[in-house]
Amino acid sequence: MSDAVIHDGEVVGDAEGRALAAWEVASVAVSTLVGEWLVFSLGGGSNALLAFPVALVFAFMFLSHRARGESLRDLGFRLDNFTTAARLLVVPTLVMCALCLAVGLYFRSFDFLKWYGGQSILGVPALGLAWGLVQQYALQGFVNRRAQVIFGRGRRSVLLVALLFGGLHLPNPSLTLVTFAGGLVWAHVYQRAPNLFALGLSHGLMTWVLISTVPAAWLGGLRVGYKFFT
Amino acid sequence: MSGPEVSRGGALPGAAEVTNPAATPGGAPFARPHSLAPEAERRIRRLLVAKAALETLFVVALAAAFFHVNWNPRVRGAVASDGRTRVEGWVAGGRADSALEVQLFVDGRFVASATADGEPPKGGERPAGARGFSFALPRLEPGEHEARVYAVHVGGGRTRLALHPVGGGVRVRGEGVE
Repeated sequence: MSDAVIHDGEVVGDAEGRALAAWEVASVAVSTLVGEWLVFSLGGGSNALLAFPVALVFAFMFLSHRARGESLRDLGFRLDNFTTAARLLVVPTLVMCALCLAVGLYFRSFDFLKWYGGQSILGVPALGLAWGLVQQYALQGFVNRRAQVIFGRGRRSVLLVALLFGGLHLPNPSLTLVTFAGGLVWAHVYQRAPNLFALGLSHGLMTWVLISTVPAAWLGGLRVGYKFFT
Repeated sequence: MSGPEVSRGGALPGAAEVTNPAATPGGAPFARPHSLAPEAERRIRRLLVAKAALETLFVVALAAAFFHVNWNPRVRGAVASDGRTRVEGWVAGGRADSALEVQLFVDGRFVASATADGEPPKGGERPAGARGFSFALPRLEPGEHEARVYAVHVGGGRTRLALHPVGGGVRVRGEGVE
């Protein structure tokens, strides 16, 4: 192994370790792009086909955690720092909610029951929380941790996470912007208090408020990748 | 967004820990791996290679399946003209139990659709199962034009249609055929 590398006065991974972590991040991004672009364009969006890259990327992340000896607690599946993380999240989440509500008021586009049409009032938050938790696990529990190996804690790794999160929502312009902004906040909070439950809650709540308030045309039906053009 | 309390980032077994009080507000230690055990590195490298290989195979299989479902490389045919007002020819390579739909385009614009279910024109060699088609040319602007015939292939899920060129293009004139 080569010597450790110093960034901004902080010790980060050695050169080989950083390259390996960068490869891991790129690999996860490629799987997502394969799902978003190739499965939807060549496979017609078949769920059975989509299952392959999804299963592959989750299997890879799981085995990578094992190889690195990362526990669930390390990743952020824990409760001891929930309050700290929630405290860090409350202001940006409320600000975003207030902005969305203002937009919804202005355009009279409120509808807090429209997510997935027939979902019950209880089903919506449950689904939102689960979806938010899964995304935050991949984004923070995996990507953010590897980004910290590459760049150390701080602006660079936070920016990498946000750029990746936003980029994976291309070519949907509004969703790319919103996810980039959300990525900055969530990545910053995770580095201070790694708690995926709090982040998942924030993510689920933000998604619900966003789609319930902002005019649907702005969000492009939440479609990303090749699906955005269909 | 700085909070009063900062959690530990989580150390990785097999990796050296770095305690860097300056890196965390409040002086709480933040443990981070800065080196990975060689065996763990090798394992992750193998994982990445295996994943890349599987993903490549998946993409190749997806592309091949897409081509197979949405394209029919067996389509063959020929197009001729009666020298004045018709474009006709034969096409082969469709499914044995169904007639092929063929479409006529003049200067790249759709003109007409027909079913190739007739006797192929006489003369020349043609494979077994060849079916004939014939189009009456519409009234065209004076001058030279190009007519082409395409066989329609219905792709997977009947949601995609592919047009296969049948033979080459034939030149036609607005007031007759060259």
